[in-house]
Amino acid sequence: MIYDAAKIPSVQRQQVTYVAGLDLAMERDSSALSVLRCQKAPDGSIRLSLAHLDRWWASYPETHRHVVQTLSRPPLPGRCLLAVDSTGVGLSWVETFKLDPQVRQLVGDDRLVPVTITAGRAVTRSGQFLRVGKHRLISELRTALARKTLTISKHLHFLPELLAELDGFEAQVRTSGSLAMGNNPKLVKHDDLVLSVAIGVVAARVVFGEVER
Amino acid sequence: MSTRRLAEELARLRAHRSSRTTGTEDLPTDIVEFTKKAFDIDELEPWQEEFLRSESRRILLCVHRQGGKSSLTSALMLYEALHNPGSLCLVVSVSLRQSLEFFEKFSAGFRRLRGKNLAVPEPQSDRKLGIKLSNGSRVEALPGGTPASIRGFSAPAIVCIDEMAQTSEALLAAVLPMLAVSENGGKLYGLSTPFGRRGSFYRLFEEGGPEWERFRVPVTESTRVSAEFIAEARANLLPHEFASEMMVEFTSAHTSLFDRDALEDALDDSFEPLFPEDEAV
Repeated sequence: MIYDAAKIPSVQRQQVTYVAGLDLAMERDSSALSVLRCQKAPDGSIRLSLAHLDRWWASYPETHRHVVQTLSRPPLPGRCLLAVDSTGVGLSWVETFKLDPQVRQLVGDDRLVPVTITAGRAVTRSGQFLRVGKHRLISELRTALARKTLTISKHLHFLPELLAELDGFEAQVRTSGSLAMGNNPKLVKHDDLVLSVAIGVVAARVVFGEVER
Repeated sequence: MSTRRLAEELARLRAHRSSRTTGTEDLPTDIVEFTKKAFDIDELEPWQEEFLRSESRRILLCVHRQGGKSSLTSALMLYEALHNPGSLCLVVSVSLRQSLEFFEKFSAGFRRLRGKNLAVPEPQSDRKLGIKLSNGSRVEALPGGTPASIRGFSAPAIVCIDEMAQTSEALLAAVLPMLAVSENGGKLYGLSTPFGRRGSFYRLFEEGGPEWERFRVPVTESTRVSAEFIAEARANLLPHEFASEMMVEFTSAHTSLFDRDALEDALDDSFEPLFPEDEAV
């Protein structure tokens, strides 16, 4: 098995100052990377600040290079945990990515967290994988915004796109009665920025022990 | 027949065609009178007259349901097409069905004028979603579900985005550049009832620059809707639906999972991005 035994709860937290969330492109979508700065508040809770947001359309090898390039930029090397959407084809990307010696140097084994988005509602750990229900993923982001534990820099280039995606992110009741969550295509074409931030938020909260699994 | 004679004959036919009209009386030049004639309206509400007479080139019309948004903008497009030969007017709607609906209103006004012995140019081609008149003017109704598909038109005199609150930001991005080389920047009308606190209509209505003239007309300001009907709507619609559809309030969209107020509270001017040099690009 490529992944070591689960280390997520035992990641050396003092070494993690940044958590990056990566949503990988599917057929028509773009890839998106968000970086959250994590700071401990006086009450012991974690405050997250969205300090970087990026989106691009590229092949997976180019995405590999782009992510390595970003993680190589100070102050991230050695201080950033990378949570990657490994749902579906994402898993093979993560496996290739992890074999890159440069990645091992930048992130390390225990700070690369594949996140599988499931149909359930819970957050569970399977090996080094995090399995997060989509409802839970979105709920964590909503909660972080409502409790004001997540702030967003007004200076981000992709801020208008992120706000449009958040505005257009809806819940719809399927004919089967189940609830589907995603972008309303009439309003906004993508949801990759939202998902990258949500992945980062969940991973940060798990790392700092704020999520009850 | 020689080539020269053929060219002369062609020019004569073209001149004849462009002057071909159905009636003899002059069209009203006053936009309010023109609208009343085209849509068989006796009296317009004060805000409707103000809107029709406005000289602003960017207008947002946030009006209650059945407030006459489509009819008024149809009248403006009809006026442009008939009075300014060779002009192009576009209406973009959120779906094909709504494009058809809007264009039907335009066509109804056009047919009504033709039936009144007025000097109205004849249609050269009359389609379900567009018309070309003998004076060279064109009006096209476009479904805006796929913004990329509406590119290609240039220098329109008027562009109207119907139910703008339900369209994507990408639609505005596809439409606005069309006006770059229009005379005086062309005219852009966004008409809608609110659809939550999101999208280009809300953004421009709340934060757009001074170039945008805004009309906000709740049903309670209408002289055509009875107090009884308003009471019925208030009693039977959900509060946020009544607020949005009838009182034209930008309520937080009940379908959006993220509250706009919480999002605005989360924005922070005080901290720099990680890579400030990237953000200026």
